[in-house]
Amino acid sequence: MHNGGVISLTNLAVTEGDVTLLPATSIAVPRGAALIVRGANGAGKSTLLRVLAGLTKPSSGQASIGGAAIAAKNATFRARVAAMIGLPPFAPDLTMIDHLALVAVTWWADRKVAMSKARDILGDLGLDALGQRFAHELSSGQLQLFALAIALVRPADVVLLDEPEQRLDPDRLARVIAVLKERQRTGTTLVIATHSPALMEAFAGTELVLEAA
Amino acid sequence: MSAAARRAARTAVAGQTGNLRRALEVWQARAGRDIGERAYRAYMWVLAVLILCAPMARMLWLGLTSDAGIDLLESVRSGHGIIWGVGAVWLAAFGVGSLRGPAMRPPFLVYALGGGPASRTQVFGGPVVRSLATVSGVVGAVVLAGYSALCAAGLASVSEVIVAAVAGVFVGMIAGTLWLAGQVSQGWMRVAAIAVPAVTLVVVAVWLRFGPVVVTGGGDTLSAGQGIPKLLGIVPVTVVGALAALCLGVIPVLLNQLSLPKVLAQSQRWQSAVRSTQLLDLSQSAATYQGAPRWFRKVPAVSRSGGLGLVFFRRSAVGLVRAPGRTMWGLLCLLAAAALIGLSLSTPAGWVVGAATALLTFVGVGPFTDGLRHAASVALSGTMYGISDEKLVALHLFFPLAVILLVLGVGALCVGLIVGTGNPVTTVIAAAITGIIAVLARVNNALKGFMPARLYVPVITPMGDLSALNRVLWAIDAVLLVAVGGIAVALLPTTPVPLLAVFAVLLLVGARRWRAR
Repeated sequence: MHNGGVISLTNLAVTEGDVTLLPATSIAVPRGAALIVRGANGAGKSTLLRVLAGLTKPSSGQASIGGAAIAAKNATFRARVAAMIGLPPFAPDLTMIDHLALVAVTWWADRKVAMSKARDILGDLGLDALGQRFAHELSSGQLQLFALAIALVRPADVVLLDEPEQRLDPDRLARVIAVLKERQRTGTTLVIATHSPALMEAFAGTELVLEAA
Repeated sequence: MSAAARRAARTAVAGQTGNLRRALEVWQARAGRDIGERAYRAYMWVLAVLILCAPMARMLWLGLTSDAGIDLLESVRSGHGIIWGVGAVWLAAFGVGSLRGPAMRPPFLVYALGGGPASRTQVFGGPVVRSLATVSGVVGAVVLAGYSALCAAGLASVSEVIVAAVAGVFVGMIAGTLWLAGQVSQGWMRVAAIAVPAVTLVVVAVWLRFGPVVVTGGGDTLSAGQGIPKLLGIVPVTVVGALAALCLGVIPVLLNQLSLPKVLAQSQRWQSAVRSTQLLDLSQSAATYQGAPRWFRKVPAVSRSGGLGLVFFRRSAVGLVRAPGRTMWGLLCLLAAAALIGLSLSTPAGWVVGAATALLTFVGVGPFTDGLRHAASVALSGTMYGISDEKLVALHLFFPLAVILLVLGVGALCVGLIVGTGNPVTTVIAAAITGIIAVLARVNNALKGFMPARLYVPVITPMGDLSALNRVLWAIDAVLLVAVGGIAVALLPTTPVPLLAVFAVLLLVGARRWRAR
């Protein structure tokens, strides 16, 4: 196993019958780093993120986050890892600000802190004017930002993001990059699967290129 | 208008009708089915009728002509069941019209033909006539079946059967027109049109229960000593017939009031629901018709103080008032279920009423369990909240369960006291159990996830591939369990075993899905 990183993968692979969803992959990502995962469609980027989030079981190899095995039902693991892999199931009867506040109050013991975190992330992502809209009233780009806000309103050591640039215009993407940079500056490790040159440039450094099998 | 102008107008209308017919022919020809395909479809229909419909019709007939069935029919006929039934059908027809009216064509045709020179009557007349005929036929057939069973038992004459069937067709025609009126109506007019008759029905119920009832349909139609109107007298049937004839005259007026964008929106929703149903995604199909929350968006759903229990209680309560139409619909279904619970415990064929009650409860709890379904979806998809999935579901369970039990319990108690059906304590307990079954079934259903791939594996039997049956059973398992649960509740005064079995199945299925999430 690759040691010394908050995320450590050793020959991690996922197969389904004869189909390889993720080729054998090894990498160690240090705390506070940003790992850019690149690769063509079907190369296994989303599968890798799903494995790291505990949503898909690997067929072989080992993976750990913070030295512990990945276990989606484990409270410590859940507190450590935040993820946005596709759009999450939004509560249809909550406005954006309500939804973020509800998520935040389950993470932050201090209610004032939770409320301010919810308002802050809306502002940081340029959604503050839309706080009282329901999910069904948002455009696809706004929904993408909302999903990012839900993943980022909570504390986490590791944030997994699957193509966060989807459906975003350059200005919004710049806001997302700024928010992620700030999270990285405070010690959060980022894993970003992306096709966006802007994201690749902003987080250039550690990179994993997956080749389709 | 001069004769020449009238002739020109008639010619123009005939021309538009011809264009419309040709356009519809082009649309219908797009599928390009050859004779073999048509023959195969006809064969499938014949098989479906022979294998599914015929045995079901036979079973229904045997049920109706059984002692319990005859008792039930007799109690409906001699009580106020027919008045309630007709009132409910008319009210429901109007309500359904606002969601999916009879003036309906595929979205493309609504857009292409509705925006053309043809009038609304020309474009939508055909579907409306077909819908009206279907509703009238169904209502007439239901009445015919009921009275035929009574006739077979020697409790009704042949002439009564014929008059009843004709009256049923008239009732269906009025229902069809109200269906169209519901499609045309908008805003407060719609609310008033549903609320006023609903309140009237409740007032009439109270009046019938406590007031000095002497309502008759004609001089010779009072059932001696009962004060109950005999509904097959000449006067009532003639009045209903006249109303039906009046309705036929009103239909063109209503059609020309139709709003095209509204019909288009209804058509798109309907198409989406049909597609989801064809894919056996029934939850998605139902969600297509859920009213979207719009109201009270400025009322914070998350309290700034109090424990998590209070936070989620408030969150559920605020969420509920944000879609008031849907909430009212849920409440109406729950109240209707509450009204039927007492009947299910006291009627000879109570198991049928019990199943219907449980299904109504299942539909009624839908709006109250949005948060619960969201919690189940989150449990299936990953971490969103900073609490365990178990706690998330439990926190979302408290409010809906409290409201549902309150509405069902109080409703059943009030209706029991007004109508005088059964022991109030037993009724309230039965109401609570029915509510719990419905909520548990909702949770199980929300935890279902995607259809397992193994259900697509062919199941070869001497009768053919039965894998489709497995898939249908998987898609409707919650509904089936709830219906069986309702039957078990109705049987509770006799034996608790079926109810215990239903709870065991619900808990086992839920636990299995929870572990597999």
